[in-house]
Amino acid sequence: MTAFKYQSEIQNLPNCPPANYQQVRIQAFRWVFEDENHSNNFRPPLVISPHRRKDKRFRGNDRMTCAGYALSLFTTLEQAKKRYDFFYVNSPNHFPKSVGTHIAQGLLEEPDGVASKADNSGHFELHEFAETDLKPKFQWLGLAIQEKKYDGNN
Amino acid sequence: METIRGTQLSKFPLEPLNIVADLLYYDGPFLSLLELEHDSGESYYFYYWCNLDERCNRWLIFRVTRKQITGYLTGKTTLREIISHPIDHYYFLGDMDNDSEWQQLYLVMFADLPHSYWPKENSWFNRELSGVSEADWKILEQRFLTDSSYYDDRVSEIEVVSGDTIDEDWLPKRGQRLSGVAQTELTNRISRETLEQVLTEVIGKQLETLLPKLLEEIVLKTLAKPSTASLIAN
Repeated sequence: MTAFKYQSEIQNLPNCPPANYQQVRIQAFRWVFEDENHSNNFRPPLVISPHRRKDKRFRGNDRMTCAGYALSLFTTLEQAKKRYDFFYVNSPNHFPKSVGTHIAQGLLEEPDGVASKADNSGHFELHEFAETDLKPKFQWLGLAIQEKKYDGNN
Repeated sequence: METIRGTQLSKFPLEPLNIVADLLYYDGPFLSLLELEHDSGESYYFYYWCNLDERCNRWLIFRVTRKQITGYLTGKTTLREIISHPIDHYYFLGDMDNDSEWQQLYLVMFADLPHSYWPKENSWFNRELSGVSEADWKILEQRFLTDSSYYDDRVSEIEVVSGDTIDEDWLPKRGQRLSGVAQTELTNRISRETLEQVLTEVIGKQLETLLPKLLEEIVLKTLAKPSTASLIAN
């Protein structure tokens, strides 16, 4: 059995990763920081501090916790930009500080991990295998935002 | 993060505040709807993620009406409109760490909230992009997007304002709604009464000393309010 990158964190969660997640070979797009060496570029939300998932006011459950150890990705550049714009409009002050300002593209291959099916907005999750390193596989395409350039002072 | 201008609180005064649904969600909640149960019914609050630093997420918490929730979900109003026109004229603003502990918590008056925390003018709700889950959407539909829930909301608001169970003769017939003017008046007066309650019962005297003019205004406006019956329109 192949170990996942965050095996110790997810091993006691039921059905994590979900059984219907599959190894895939697809082009993927991810929001990243301008700095290609930023430590959070390929980290899932529960590994980044501060995180919002374990907040006791919210319904923390096994499904959400499991997803918190998966990377968020998109199937097309257009969908990645559209979703970025939506959240930027809703939180221009800090959203770029949380997820970055750029989009990178890379080819996901079967040895990288298991992925969910994309939802209607093109978003899907990837649970990386232990040895996966996505950074060398991704190329920085440019700014994520379509509305205007983020100047860090909005 | 920006320094908060406001009255520091030792604990969060709205308990128990229970989750209803996450309205915006990406790698965690952006905007959540919570409810506070109390003797006279229920109050709804938005939890809006408004900033972060290396240690904490900053949350903006403020009361919203059912009408605002419905308006937001149905595309009649934007998140910016709701945040920039708080019905209570104040917010709770706090920094929460990874252990879900408040590192600092303030009551902030409307004028002291940095405008950088406001969403942009085109912050319309979009279900497909919002990240709202199927389960949460069902809850929202049942509670805020049905005709019967809209009707019940109006009756509930009248009862809260009047302080009594309203006379059957006053009720608009099912399917009828209060006029826009009446809805606004009712919402405004609920806002003042709730603010008065928070000031006097929940937060206590520390604010009474800081906000005497506001309290005076509340009392004057409460005394001057017209009868509830005159606000009902077909």
